[in-house]
Amino acid sequence: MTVPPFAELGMFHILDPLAWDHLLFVAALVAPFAPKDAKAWFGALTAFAVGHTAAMASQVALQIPLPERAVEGAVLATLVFTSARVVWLKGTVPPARSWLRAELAVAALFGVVHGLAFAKDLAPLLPSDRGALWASWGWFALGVEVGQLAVVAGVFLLRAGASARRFSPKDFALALGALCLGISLHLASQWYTG
Amino acid sequence: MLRTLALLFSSFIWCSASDHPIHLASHELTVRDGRTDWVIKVFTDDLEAAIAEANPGVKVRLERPEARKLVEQYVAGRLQVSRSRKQLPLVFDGLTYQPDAVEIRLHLASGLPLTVTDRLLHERFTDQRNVYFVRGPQGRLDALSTPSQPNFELRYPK
Repeated sequence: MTVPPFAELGMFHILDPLAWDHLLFVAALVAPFAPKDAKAWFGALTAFAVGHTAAMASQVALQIPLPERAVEGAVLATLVFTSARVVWLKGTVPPARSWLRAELAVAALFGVVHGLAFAKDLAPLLPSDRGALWASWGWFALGVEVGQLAVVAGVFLLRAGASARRFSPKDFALALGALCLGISLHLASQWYTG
Repeated sequence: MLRTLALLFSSFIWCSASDHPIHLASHELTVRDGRTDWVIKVFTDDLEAAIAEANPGVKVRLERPEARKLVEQYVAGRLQVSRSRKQLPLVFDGLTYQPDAVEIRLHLASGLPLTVTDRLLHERFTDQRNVYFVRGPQGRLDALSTPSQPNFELRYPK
């Protein structure tokens, strides 16, 4: 019975209609890729997932007090950087192999930042019993992954829709990157003044 | 096209960066020797708002000692435990305040089975979920209370 609530919480943490930071990050991360570039987008997504799962696990285990505002600011910085890069590269993907390694490292690092944010929201209410704690964490992490895959599926569906309307993949990625950048700057201004 | 863009941009005016509301409370029950120790963890701001709503005109600050009575009243009004339709007294042992979450400690001079009616914070959020983790001599049990389903049985399968 406890399985669905924590998995559901994880999923809707990503798909939260009132807070788009994690959702936009995943959308911007996969924006330049076509579904057939599975190695690249799945690699980036996996690196991001490894980063946030490890960070969340460490934070759940160690419960180090973190400055909430700094964590929120860091999440927004990852979002601004990732979407700005899509715009900067005009929706294209550099083909070099070394770029892929750098991409994975950055995605993993950004995953750590997002993982700290997940932990900040969840950790205060996790049970103290070790078994129940790790089960709750595991289900929450699984829910986050499902939420991310839903975002990726949504981006690829939009891409297919845009392609059917004769948008080029580059234009689609550029438009999505620009939208993410616009919203992320708006969120950053909210954070700065808030 | 312009209308679509206007809709898109107007929608993000309402979103915020950091506010990921999680409407959750966790209950941890440890059953041993005919006694159940009960720990509730709830977000501090949610509980303060709920108690303030139940006590109009009262300024609720959970870090203050006088808040203990208010918390006790609030919990007693929204959490009932019974067995065979006979209500069992939940004894309030205290609370630990932290800026993020408050830990409320209770106990019950009884083990399982129990019938629980939990409406904690249900009046605040339609998507409130109160998750139960029960540990006892016969193993673990889980349960969930939601506004649409506040009653449930805690009982080991035969």
